[in-house]
Amino acid sequence: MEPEKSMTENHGTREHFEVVVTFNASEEELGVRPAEQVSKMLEAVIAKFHLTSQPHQMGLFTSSNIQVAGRLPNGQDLHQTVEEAKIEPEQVLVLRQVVVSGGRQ
Amino acid sequence: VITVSADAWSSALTSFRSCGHGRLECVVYLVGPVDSPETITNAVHPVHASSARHYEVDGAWLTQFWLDLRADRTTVKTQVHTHGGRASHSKRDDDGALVYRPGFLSLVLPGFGLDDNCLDGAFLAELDDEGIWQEVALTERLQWT
Repeated sequence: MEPEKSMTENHGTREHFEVVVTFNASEEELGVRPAEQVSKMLEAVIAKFHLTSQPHQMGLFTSSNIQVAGRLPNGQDLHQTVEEAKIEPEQVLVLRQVVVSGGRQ
Repeated sequence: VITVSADAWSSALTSFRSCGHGRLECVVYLVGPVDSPETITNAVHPVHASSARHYEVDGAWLTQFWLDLRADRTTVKTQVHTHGGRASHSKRDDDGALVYRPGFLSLVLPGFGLDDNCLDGAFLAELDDEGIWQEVALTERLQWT
């Protein structure tokens, strides 16, 4: 008889899984839960990378540059779960400033 | 002290002059191997918008840049951008930098970087442990080959 799959083995109903987040060539693995808010995920990864400033201006992006966490350029915060953001196990996400700018003005 | 290669610096100045034309701000990222923290080997010129008083880097370009750095095991060690007048670290520079990790360097060049001696009037800022940009002497953090 085939053994029953556990919750963590079944892709569709995993209780938690790992993603990889990259920032300026550093990378960290992060354990997430499908029901977790992406804002919590963002806070956790900012702490992991020891970023001390501007956390409200950071975002998580897919390799296709779809923002899945953080504040949008229009000032609205993304409120969604990991599942709603369609974040997949082992997915590589980019942590970066939402807007990078400078100048005299 | 981080050493900037002559090729990287020459490439940066070329970008400032060909992109900025002496009337627009411009930005480059000085990069080097992850495994050689005190070496800068290349200057990367991002896709960006600019005016005489500001620049803004393209978000899609930045996402791909981060992925490329991961693949190449290369990291940004210093950001460099130009101002039209004298060099300083403005509020906009404070708030819009590429990296907010203590020790990251942000170099600002005066006069759109046109002058070969633009380092003479340059302003170097370093992010401290509290997340505040502090002016530091150029020679304490950077040297050129």
